[in-house]
Amino acid sequence: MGEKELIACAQRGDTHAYGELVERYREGVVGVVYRMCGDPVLAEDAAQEAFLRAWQRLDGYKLEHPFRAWVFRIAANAALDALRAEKPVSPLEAAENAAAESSAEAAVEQRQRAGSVQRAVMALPAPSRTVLVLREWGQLSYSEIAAALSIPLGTVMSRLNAARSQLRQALVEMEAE
Amino acid sequence: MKQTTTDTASEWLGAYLDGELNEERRAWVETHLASCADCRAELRSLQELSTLLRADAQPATSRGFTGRVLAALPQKMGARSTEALPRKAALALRWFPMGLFGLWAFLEIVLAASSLVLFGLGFFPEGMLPAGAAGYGGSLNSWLSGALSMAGQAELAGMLETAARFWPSALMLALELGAAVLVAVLFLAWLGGYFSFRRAQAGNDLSQ
Repeated sequence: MGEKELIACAQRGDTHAYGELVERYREGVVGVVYRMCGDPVLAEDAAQEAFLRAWQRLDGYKLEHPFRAWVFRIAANAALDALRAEKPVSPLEAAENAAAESSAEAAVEQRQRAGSVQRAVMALPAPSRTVLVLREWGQLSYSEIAAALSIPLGTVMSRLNAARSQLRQALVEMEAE
Repeated sequence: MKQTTTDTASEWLGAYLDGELNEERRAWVETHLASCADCRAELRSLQELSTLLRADAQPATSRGFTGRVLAALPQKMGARSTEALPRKAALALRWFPMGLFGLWAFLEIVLAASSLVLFGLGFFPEGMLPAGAAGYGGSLNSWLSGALSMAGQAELAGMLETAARFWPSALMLALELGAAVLVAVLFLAWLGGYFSFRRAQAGNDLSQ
């Protein structure tokens, strides 16, 4: 069944069709929320919350818009809400948790690098982080991000430039330490 | 001048890397890249960053993720559609009482203004008018009843006289009552709608 048919069925209350959509977007949504909140456990809860919200708002979804962008936007907001609710988790702690989640066989260097990247991403301001995550891990185009976040195209580009610039700077500093 | 061009190109490099530039802008950036070592280094740095970010593995979802999502969905369709009440409708529901108050105030002002106009024209029983305030309405009534009396329609003239004395106040009273009933019915309808919406929402929250 095509994506539009699945969405239309889900809009009529078909939970099996919605389950198929969840299967298709599960990895993408978890990727987005994980990069947004930096904690694998929190990310899974936020991803689940994102799919619940998407179900509740499905009536308001218009078929002509990309479903991916729509659901990723909900995911990014769910991640930010989860972070607000779980304030005690610091970016450093979250990055360490993330690094610890890697398999035991993974090289120490790779874990450290993953931790550094996640720490640097978490240090970005939420608006820049959201745009960066939707672009780099959500793989959304600039116009999809602009539509999803209701911001102008120019703002997408400037936030993305700022995020990348800050990220590079942070990674250079971390390597120097 | 060269620095300005480099700064401009630098702003476009991210979008160039993402394939988001139009043909003209892309050609301009490529021409600039061919002659600017700083921008080529900047582009390489951006490419490395992108590779680094995407190479970082994300956690896999635990087994049964989809099943848990589906189990947590509100089972009743009605519950979902009320929860998903469009934003505009939800706002309208919230602000409806204010609109109702505005409607009531508007009707009261119109009725008060109409009463004043009728009062000025003398369309009220004599007892309700100050002495000598017959006005145009009174003169018109007198002229009409006089004309009917002269035409031999004394009974009709009497009825007109009585009606002319009391209909404006009766009409104003009826309008006043009508307005109050309308506002009350609309308010009760809103109250019913609002509480059923809240109850459905509470049901949704519980089912999650």
